[in-house]
Amino acid sequence: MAISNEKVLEAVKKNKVVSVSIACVIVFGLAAMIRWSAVEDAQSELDAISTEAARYANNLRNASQLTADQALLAKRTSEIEARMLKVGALMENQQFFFDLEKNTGVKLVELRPGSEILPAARKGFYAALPYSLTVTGTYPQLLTIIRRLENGQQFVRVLSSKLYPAPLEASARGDAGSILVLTMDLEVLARP
Amino acid sequence: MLSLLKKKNDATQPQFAAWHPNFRNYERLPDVKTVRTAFFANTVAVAVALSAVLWVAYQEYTCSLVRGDIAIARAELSRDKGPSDQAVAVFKKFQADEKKVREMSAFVASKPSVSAMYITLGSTLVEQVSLTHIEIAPTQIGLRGVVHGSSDVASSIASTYIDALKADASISQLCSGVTQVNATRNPQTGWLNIELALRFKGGK
Repeated sequence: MAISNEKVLEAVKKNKVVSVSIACVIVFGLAAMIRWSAVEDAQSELDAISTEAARYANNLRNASQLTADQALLAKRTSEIEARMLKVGALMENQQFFFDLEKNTGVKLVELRPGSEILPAARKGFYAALPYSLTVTGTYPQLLTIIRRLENGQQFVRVLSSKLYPAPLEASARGDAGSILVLTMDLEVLARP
Repeated sequence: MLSLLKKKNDATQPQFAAWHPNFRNYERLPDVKTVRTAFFANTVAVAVALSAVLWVAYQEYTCSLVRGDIAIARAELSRDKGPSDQAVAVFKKFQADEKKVREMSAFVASKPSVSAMYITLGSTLVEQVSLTHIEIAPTQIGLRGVVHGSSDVASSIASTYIDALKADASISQLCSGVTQVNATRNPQTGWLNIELALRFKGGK
């Protein structure tokens, strides 16, 4: 039961309001469908930009004191590095131990440097200089030198140590029986 | 739709058998409906069309609002990007310096303090016990000493010293226990030579 074009045209002419309304619905319905993705795209673009803007704003908020903190930290780090032992500076590095000997009153019997552990091997910024140290002195003197090593200006860790009475000939030079021998294997942190 | 617009003449005809002849010509009778069906149809059609128009308008309005927000967000973004990038660069420098400080701190903290250990060992000594050899190795502390006392009390003095070592808080924090390795009597002096081992927890 086909409807001829004439009948359709006649019906359109007879019902103009309904026909125009149907045309409007079709046109605007299509427009709504096409523009729907545009709205969604704009919304997702806004979300992405807002997220990034929030990240920047957060960075700025968190960095309010950062410049001053970084400057202070860099200053302190360079101060610490300036007083560290240096890889390869054998004589200068030994002077550190000679100064300790002088300031604590112990007798430095032996100072043997080991082979340096470079930063790449330690997976860090600094090298480690191993030393074997033998000193003699009274118990308070030896305790003082250990404390100065551990809490002094250098970063030192004592790997092992032995403390025992000095042989009789050494003791004979000081108070008999009060002289002790301290041997230590230690590592000192050094700048490359 | 068109069928709705037609006059429904059949509906107006009686449904029961006429008891007298019906001479009314329904085609020629005037339409007496107050509001015509076409009016309702037009109203519904216009309402639907208006809804579609309003929906599209609302969509476009929303879109324009979002675009406005995007423009504002872009302006904020371009304003903050430079300072933010600078802050990130400063933070990277800070992290690098922080790593250096952490490395120094970890280096020193990786081994227990030897001076503190010597002080602790000195403070835990009991009367009539003297240490002759203290060895702090990576895995343990070895102690050699002499118990000055007659043979009948030397063993109990040695046990008292071991108990004192075990009872010390800092030793028990560092070491897993105190082991007596050796105890021999010196035949010349009659004193007891003892040898103890304090094993570090976790082999520090």
